[in-house]
Amino acid sequence: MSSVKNKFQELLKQVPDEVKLYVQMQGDIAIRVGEIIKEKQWTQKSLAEKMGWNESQVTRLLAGHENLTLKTIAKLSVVLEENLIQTQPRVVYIPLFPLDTPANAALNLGALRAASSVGNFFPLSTNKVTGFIKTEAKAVA
Amino acid sequence: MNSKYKIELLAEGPKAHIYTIRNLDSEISEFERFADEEDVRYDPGFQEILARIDDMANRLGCIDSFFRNESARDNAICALFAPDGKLRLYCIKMRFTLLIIGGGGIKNTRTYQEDPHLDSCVTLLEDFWKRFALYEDNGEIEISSDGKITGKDKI
Repeated sequence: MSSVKNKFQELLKQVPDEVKLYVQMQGDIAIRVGEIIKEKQWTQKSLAEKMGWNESQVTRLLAGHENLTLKTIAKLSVVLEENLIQTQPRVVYIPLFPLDTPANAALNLGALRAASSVGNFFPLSTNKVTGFIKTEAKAVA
Repeated sequence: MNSKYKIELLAEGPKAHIYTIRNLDSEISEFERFADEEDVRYDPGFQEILARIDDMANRLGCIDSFFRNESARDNAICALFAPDGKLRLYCIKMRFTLLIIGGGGIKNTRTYQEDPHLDSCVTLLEDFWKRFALYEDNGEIEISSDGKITGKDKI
């Protein structure tokens, strides 16, 4: 590896992960907004007008330099008719069976184990599982 | 023609090759000169520029809108810049897959020409670009589709 490449990698290691992710998110939004504008055959000026911005704000957005608030992202999403953030909470629904047979109990435990492997399932001890099953079959992250 | 610059690889990834240049009279590359400046290193935008370079090499490629055209003399010269500050890193965006990075610094003047250091960064890139074009025309340098430069590394 060349020394300058090494030096770049060393400097990059000092960049916090959240800064890297922030820059990536800015870049992704910039590119997607640019694509949508092109698809809709809009100009930067027309987007600026719809957003109530001046044109330089659109330029900064497309340069990946706007630190957008959630409110602004929501407005952009409405104007562009596309949700620019796709994050959704992960909810795990577990089918439960009446605990009247050992086979059903085993099925319930298997379902709970599978749900916990998703990663966002609230951990329950075996004792509590029984009570949980008797009440309702919903586990929320 | 005597060689004046060495082309040095700075970052590479599936989307782009990014190089910097070193004046053969100098021990360090233009990027290192930029990164070694204390006021640059402590500018809040410095890390974002580093992250952007890495992201272009690995994920996005050299997207036009990420750059600001800066040179009054030549449109090929552009700058990566930090959003909230005055930090500029001058470069030549040759292809979507190829970027040549020069020097830069904090821009405290209205135009880069008013700052002798920034003006020298842009002038060096312009000189380099003319030489590069000659070598490319002569077939002594080739650029592959992924932005890799092959052939002479001193021009």
